[in-house]
Amino acid sequence: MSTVTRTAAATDTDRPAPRTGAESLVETLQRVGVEHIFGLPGGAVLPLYDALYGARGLRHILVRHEQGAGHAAQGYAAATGRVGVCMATSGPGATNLVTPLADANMDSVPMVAITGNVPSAAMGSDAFQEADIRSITMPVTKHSFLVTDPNLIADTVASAFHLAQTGRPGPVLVDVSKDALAALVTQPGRGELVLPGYRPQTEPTPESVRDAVELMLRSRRPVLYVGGGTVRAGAHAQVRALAELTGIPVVTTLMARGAFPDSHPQHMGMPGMHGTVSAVAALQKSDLIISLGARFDDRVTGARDSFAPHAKVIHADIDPAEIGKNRPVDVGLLGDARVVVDQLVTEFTMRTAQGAEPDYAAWVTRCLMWKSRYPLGYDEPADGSLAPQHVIQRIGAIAGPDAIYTSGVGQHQMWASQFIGYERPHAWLNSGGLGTMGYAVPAAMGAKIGCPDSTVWAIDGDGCFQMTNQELATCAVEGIPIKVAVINNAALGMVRQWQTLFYSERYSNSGAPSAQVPDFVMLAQAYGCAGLRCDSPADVDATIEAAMAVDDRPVVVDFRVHKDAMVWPMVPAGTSNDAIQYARDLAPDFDEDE
Amino acid sequence: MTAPTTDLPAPDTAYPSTTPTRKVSTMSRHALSVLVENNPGVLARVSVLFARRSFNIDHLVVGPTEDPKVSRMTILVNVSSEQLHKVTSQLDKLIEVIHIEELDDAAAIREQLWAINDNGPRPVGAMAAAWG
Repeated sequence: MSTVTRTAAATDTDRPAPRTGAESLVETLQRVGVEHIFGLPGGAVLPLYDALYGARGLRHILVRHEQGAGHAAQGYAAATGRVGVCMATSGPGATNLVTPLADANMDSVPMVAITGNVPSAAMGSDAFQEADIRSITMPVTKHSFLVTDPNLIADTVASAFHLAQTGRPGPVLVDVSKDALAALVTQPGRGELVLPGYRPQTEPTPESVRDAVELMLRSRRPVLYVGGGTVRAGAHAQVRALAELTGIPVVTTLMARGAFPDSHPQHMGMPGMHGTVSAVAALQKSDLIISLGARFDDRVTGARDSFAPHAKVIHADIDPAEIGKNRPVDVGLLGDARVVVDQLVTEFTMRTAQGAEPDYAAWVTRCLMWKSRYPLGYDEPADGSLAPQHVIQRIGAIAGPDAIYTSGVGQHQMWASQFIGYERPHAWLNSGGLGTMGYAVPAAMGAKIGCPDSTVWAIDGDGCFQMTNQELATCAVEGIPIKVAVINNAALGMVRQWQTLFYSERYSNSGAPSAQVPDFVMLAQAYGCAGLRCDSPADVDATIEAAMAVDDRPVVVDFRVHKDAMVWPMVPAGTSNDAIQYARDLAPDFDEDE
Repeated sequence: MTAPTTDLPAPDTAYPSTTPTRKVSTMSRHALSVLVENNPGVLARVSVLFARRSFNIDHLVVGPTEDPKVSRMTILVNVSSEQLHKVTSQLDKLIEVIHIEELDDAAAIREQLWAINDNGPRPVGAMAAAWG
């Protein structure tokens, strides 16, 4: 008897102690380097939260709503470049993650969501808080797993991190049944799952690089169309090297603001529905679009059949399904943006050293003419009220290019993309693809956790702010001093703008006549934040300075702005980019001085 | 309730695509052979993807391969080559899809399917009839 006991003890020192599925999950998170988790517990995920209790090196931030956890994980990932992690329970906890997952899927954000589910024996019985989240998230994630075997938890979670951050980044969901979390692991896995169908290609073929550079050399009106993929790939230095080597004008999409410095003379601005005239014109009139990590989104192209009608296309992307999806291509470059652009630089350098002499001078002059003739601008309201653009411009000027800016979706988002100067990648976080109102506050929270030494401003609208501001409580309790500028026009501004322009000023359900409900200053204070208000142009700078001075808690500033301000320029939805209006009823003439 | 049941096509006729946006002139019959990981949920994943693109799947057969971890899906769709390229690109992105091949000889497929049907399951016969 005693012999048997001694033998067992000896074996225990050699092997890891018996552990539950939940413990193996926590160990895997530690192994892959996770430091922060945003989440909210519930019945089905309790074994996992028990294993998290006191786990070394893991900080769990308890949110007030699971959607906040998801957007916080996105903001964390977008600001740091690392995988964001969120956690929720079964049923409603999991379904509340669907919006952030869909958002991360559209904007290629590396993120892992872990959910508990009901015990496997109860699955399919419509058990309390049961939802088939693996299936629900199929079309809005890079991949979704359901694990019911404790022996597979560790490998699956490790594979989820691998999938989230390699190839085209994206969200991966791991749903684990409660019994698998609670059961003992009897047979540890190999570390990761075998994924025979997953082989992302990171290097373009040499022929495609040669063909691309040949097109670039023959082109007379090329433009570098820089998208969010360059930010995710960390390819900003390579993009700048290529731009400066070739002298080709650059446009940066909404997702790529900061991938190329706004202050750079070759920068023509943001293309698209609310882009600069120079960026839209550069694409429309080009004879070669060099797309780097962009996807010819409808908000960029306008009506596709009249988009850049004379342009050939070089399309570089990590995702083969993007190449040629929306626009036929002449040369596809499949690979990681850093590698692809590096190789373009090398090939272009070699060809010019061998005597090739590309001539873009006339085109560059023309682009610069557009840039100087049609700068971004706005009208100060005649009644002396606050221009929202002025507020956002001053926040950008005072907080500077080292700060991180997040935004919701709508007019304030467009102004924040236009009137803040971005000089570095990872400084501008927004919901570009899905257009999720309510992204700003939780994303700012996540960004501040990831980059505690940076000032983080959420530029939010009064509509968006009311969708997720419960996370101010999280920020106050957890010591996450974000700054929130509510651009309060007492309306759903972008909806109102479209109703003004396209629906005969019939303001159906876009106004908020009870604009003072809630009182945002009192709301901020109720959440343990500082609350400030500003409604006069003369007080803008002083109010921003006062907000900047608050560092011991979150601060919310209610900027009461003019409600009739509109976002210009604008390409009306579904029309050609040629129909761009510089301001209302004012169309620029692209073709003059041709 | 109001649909006249007598007008339904015979069981073995190919159903016309109900998608309004397709240009009929460019459409043609394609057969895809898709190797997938034999996991629960993989059929849902594939069919969701087709549905999202408004592709009607005319016929779909899933069967085992010599490798128990791998299944083969044979999918018949009526689409243009360009649309087919786009959907196979998206299909290839699915983590559980291992390999996609377009089968190009329609007649040969039909004969093989009939051959299989002689001593095999009835759905294969329905599929073969769709080629006839």
